[in-house]
Amino acid sequence: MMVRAAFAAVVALGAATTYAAPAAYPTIPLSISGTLKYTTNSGDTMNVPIKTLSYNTQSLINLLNASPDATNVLHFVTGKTQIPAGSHFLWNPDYEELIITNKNGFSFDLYGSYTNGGTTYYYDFGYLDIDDEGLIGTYDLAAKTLAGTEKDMTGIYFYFYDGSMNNNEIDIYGKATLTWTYGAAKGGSQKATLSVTMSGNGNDDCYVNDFEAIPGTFSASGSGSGTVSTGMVPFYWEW
Amino acid sequence: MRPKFVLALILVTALVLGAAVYFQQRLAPLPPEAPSESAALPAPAAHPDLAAAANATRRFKPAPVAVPAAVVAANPMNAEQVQAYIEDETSRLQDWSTQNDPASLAAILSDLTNSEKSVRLAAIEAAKQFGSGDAIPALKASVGSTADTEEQIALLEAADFLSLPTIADADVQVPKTPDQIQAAQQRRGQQAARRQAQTQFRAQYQNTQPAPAPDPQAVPNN
Repeated sequence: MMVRAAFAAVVALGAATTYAAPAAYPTIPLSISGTLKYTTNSGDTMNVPIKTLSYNTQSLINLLNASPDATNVLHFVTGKTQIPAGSHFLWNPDYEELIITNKNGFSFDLYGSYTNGGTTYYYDFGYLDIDDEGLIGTYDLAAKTLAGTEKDMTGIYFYFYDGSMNNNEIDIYGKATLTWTYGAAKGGSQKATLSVTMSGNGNDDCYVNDFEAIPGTFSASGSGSGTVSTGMVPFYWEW
Repeated sequence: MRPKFVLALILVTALVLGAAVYFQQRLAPLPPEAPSESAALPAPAAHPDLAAAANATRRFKPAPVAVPAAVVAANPMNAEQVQAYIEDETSRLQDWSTQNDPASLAAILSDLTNSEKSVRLAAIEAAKQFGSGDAIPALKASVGSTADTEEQIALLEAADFLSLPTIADADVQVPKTPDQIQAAQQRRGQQAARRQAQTQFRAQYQNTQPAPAPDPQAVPNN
């Protein structure tokens, strides 16, 4: 997990969110999908088949909406009792948290805290880390304009937990490719377009309805643009 | 002026104009990547009343979409314009994928034949996100329209993906037996302790993690 604190600025992402977020790398809509394999065989019964199921952004949101724990936190943080239809994930390569948002201003960070009765409670329904220290990259920027392209590859760790008694949890290792396109610098900043593709099947700890599960596939993708300071280009950094 | 002269003048003018239009069409350069038909499709309005309930499987036939004739730009798009078009269309696909109406699915499926590969791949992902088995025939049919192996695999995987039950389906999230509940409670206690430790670690890490100041003069090692 990384936070480039030097680039960071405190961004309020809801009253309950209390930690720093970066200022300018593009925050992009991220579509998440995958498959899991599991069996409902809790004992040593023969011929219980291994089942395969899928998940996408909507089904993960459905799990949270069906979870009393998650909706309880959601209510404290956003005032809503359900994640609205039409919501999707937002993700930032620096911030690394997963935020569920929609066009009407709804915003719910899957990781954060809230205060109730003078006590601060932390919650964690998910995040998507990239391994910045294991990042490899290549880039090509024009000497005068700093316009150009960059391609980085790194490891990822995806975590999702619905907080329910049913216990649905996805912990997956994988890899990501970050493709950057930079516009010409102007006044110390430049346009940055980020396109991300992620894949993975490295199992850490997965459960479906409280049954052990193994990841089949995992993919996440998205793209978006923002304006970054020229000092932030390239994203690639040798730590 | 004599009527004959006027008629002759009109005829000559029409011929000149016709010839000009003909040669302009013949000689005009084609755009490097013509924008797809779907570029002209308006984003469908949200239908909150059709919002998917938890565990609901979306099933409906995509409505036919009026696909306008391919738009041939008068001037070819430069690389920047192509990039902007891809971004816009990808953004529209993202929007459609979060909707729950036939028009959105039809718009997604129409982009399976977009002239830009990155848009086609985004359309495949959007179909997966939309989550309707009604997209399967179109996904399978599109396999034959591309020679790109990566794309063919993505199309078939998406079709398989949509044929599976989802993690939120009611027949997956079935109630437990008392024994299962007891075993689960034991394990959950251990998991809760681990999660609490992880959460505290992340909170502590994010609040205290030092990072080097960005040095614009620094030359990255790659």
